[in-house]
Amino acid sequence: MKNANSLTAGIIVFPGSNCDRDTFFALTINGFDVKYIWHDFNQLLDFDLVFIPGGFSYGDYLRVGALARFSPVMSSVEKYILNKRGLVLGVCNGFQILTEAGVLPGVLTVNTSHRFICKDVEVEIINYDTPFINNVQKKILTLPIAHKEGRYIVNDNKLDPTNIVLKYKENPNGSFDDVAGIVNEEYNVFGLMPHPERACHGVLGSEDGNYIFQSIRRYLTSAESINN
Amino acid sequence: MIKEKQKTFGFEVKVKLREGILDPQGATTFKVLRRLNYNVESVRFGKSIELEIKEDSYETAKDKAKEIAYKILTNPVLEDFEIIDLNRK
Repeated sequence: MKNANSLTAGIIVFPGSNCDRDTFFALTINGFDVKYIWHDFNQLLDFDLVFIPGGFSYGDYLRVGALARFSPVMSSVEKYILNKRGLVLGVCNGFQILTEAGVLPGVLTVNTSHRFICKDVEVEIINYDTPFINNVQKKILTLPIAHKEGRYIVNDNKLDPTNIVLKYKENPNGSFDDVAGIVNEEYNVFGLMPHPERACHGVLGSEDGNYIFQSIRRYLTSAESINN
Repeated sequence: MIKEKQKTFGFEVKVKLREGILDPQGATTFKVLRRLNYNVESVRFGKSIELEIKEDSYETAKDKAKEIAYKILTNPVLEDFEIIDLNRK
């Protein structure tokens, strides 16, 4: 069993990432020993949690997340996921990168309103079985969103309902089936458009996002994650 | 490997959203055109990317262009592409 004081997290920094420092703050106050990882190195990722933060990697040219997925570090992330070394969390641009890399199904594209939306939204927890959510006591979380490309689409509406973790109460961007956050089949990769790291402390106006970090922490220090 | 005798072949990759994928940019432009009383039936936006590829033969260059278009320039969940030969030899 992992000691709660020795949890480590890596935050991947792409050219254009801008939520990396918020994420550093969020993970540090939750007791993680945090390191930044520059995207240009293909290195062994030996962390309990790998975080892909929001921003505009490579200026989001071509498509959102499309160029970042070819960064050398992404092959390390893929190995990390295959080996089930730990958990991967992608927020906003991080979620977009994970879908482009094919780690998570579907794709994110421009909002139906064609506008950048920056506000707090309510999301409902649909699946409590994943490490990212299983210790959250609430049913509805209020989290900030800030994106222009957050409309989730999946081919032929093929998405296993158990993969959906979060749904918007009032769909802000036209996402298929109100999807706000999904996991992969192994439940070790979670991607979401809302920003839990921007709602992790009272000084930020909301602490709802911290339930997610606390859940990850509980999971990593519990017996369930031993075989990882 | 770039060799001296290789030639440069030019291609245009036209990327458009697949049928049935909502194109907000097109939909907005459509609304404005209708408001201006143009009898437009539909508006779809796409993008065009020009590639110059150095290869031994036209066939290999075209295959490479297809590979790039499929693997990198488009996401098959959203987009279709078409390759146009720019005949630059």
